[in-house]
Amino acid sequence: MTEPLLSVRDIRKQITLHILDGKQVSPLRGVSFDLAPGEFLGIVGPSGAGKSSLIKCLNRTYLADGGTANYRSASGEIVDLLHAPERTMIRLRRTEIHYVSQFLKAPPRIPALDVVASVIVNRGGDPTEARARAAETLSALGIGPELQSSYPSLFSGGEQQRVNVARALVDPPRLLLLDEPTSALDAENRAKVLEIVRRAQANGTAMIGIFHDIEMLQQLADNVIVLEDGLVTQHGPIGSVQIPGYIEAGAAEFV
Amino acid sequence: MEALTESGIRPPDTAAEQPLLRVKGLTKHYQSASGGRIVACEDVTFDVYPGEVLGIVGESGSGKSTVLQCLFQDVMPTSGEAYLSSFLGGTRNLWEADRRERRHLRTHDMSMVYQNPRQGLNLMVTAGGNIAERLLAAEWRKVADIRAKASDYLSRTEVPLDRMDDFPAFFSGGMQQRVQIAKALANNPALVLLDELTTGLDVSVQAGVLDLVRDIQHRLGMTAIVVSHDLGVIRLLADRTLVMKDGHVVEAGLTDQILEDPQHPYTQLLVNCVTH
Repeated sequence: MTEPLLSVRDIRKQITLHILDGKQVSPLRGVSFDLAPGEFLGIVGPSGAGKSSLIKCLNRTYLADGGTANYRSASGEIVDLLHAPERTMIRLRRTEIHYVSQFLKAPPRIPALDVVASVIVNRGGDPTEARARAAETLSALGIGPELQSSYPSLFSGGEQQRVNVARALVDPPRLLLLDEPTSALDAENRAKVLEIVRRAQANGTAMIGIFHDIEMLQQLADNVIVLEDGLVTQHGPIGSVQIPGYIEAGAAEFV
Repeated sequence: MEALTESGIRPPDTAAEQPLLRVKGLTKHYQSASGGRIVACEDVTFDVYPGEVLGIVGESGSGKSTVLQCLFQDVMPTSGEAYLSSFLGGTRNLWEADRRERRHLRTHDMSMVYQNPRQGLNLMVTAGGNIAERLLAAEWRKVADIRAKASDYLSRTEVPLDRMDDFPAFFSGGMQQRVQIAKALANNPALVLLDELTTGLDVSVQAGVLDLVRDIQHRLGMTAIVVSHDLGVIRLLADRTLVMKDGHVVEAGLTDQILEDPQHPYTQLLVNCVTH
C-alpha cells in the first residue's frame, strides 16, 4: 500500500469563548483518518458536526488542542500541520496546500484576474503567463473577460465562489481543502466546477472536501467520512457509506 | 509503516531560514512624575523573516509603538537585545551600538514611517528634498542619481511629479504620507517600520495608502513591521501577527488564525469589536 499523503490522528478542538463568560464548545473530539496521494475524501455531517473546524485545523486557521496531522511534503519530509512552525505553514500554503473557504476572502480593490494570477506569481511564476492561465481558468468557470477586470467584492455570491475555486485550481496544489465551494452555485455552474476539479484530480491533487451536494460527492469522492458531534461515525468508499438523509435536504436549500 | 504518526516537528527547508531581525526580552520602563514605574513594554520577543510583514496589533497604550521606537533608536530600552542580520553581520545588539553605528542603522538599515508625517518629513523642505536628505544620509553623492531616485519613488507612491519641488507642508495628509513612504523606501533599507500609517486619514485615502504598501511589498518583497490598532490593516498586510496588551505580547500566530481562532480574551474582544 502506498504511504498516506496525510495521516490524521485524534484531532481535538475546543473553543473557549471568553467574551461569553468562558463558555466552551468542542467541535472536534478525536478525529482520525488517512488520505492517500490523489484521493478525494468527502466529509459530510449535519451543521455543527465539526466539518469546517476539521478543515481549518488542517490549514492552521484554527489551533487544534490535541492530535497530529502528519503531511508528507513534496520534498518527502513529514510535517505535522497542527504543530509545524508558522513559517513552515506559510511556505506550505504558498506552494502545496490550498484552502478554499466557503466565502471568498479576496483582498479588496484587486481585479479578479490578478486575484487568481497572484497564486502563481507567489509561487515564483512569470506574471504574464500567470495572467494567461488565470484568464483561462476563470473563463472555464464562466467568469468572462468583463468580470475578470472587475473587483470580486462587487460580484454575486456564486461568482465569488467561482473566483475562489479558480484561485485554488489555476495551479492545482498537492493537497486541496474545500469547505463547501459550491454552496451558492446553480446546476450549470456546479458542472463547470466539477469539470475543473476532475482535471486537478487527474493531475494528482488530493482533496478533502465538504459538500452538501450529494451528486457532487458521488461524482468526485473516493471515500467519505461521516462526522457527527465531533466524531467520525462512518468512514469508507463512497458506495459503502450510508449517506444520512440531511445531506440531500441540505442541498435543496441552495438550489 | 514508518513513523508517520509520531508527533515530531520536523520542518522542511524552512528550518534553514534565518530571521532578518531577532528581538529578545525587549523591556521599556518609564518613571512617572510621582516616581512610580510605568511599563511601556515588557519582555517582548519575536523574529522577523526576510520578505515577511509582521503585524503588531493592540490598543493605544499597549506598547506597540514603543517597540518600533526602540528598534529605530528613537527611544532606548531599559533592557533587551535585538540583532539585525544586515547590521554588522547580526553580531551586535542594536542597543549596544555606538553613536556612529546607530546613525548607520537609521540611515542605511532601517527606516520608519510615522503616524504623523511631521515626524518623518521636514515639511519645509521640498518633497524631492526630503528624499534627497535620506539618500545623502545613506551616502549617495551624485545629484543626478539622487534626483532620478527621488522622482522614481515619488511616482511609485503616486505623488505627482510636478509637486516634487513643493513643500509637503502644503500637501494633503494622504499625500504627505505617500511622500513619507517614498522617503522611507528610497534607499532600499533591510527593514521598514510602519507605525499607524493610515490612522487619521479619510477611509478612501487609507485605502490608497494601504494598496500602495501592499503593491510595493509584492513587487519589492520588502521586510516590514506594521503596527496598527486596526485589524483591517493587519489583515491586509501581515503574514503573522503579535497581539499586545498592557506592554505584553498576549498572543502570536498566523494572521488568519489570530482573526478566526483568537485564544486570548483580549484578542477575542478585539476581533468581536470589528464592525466589518
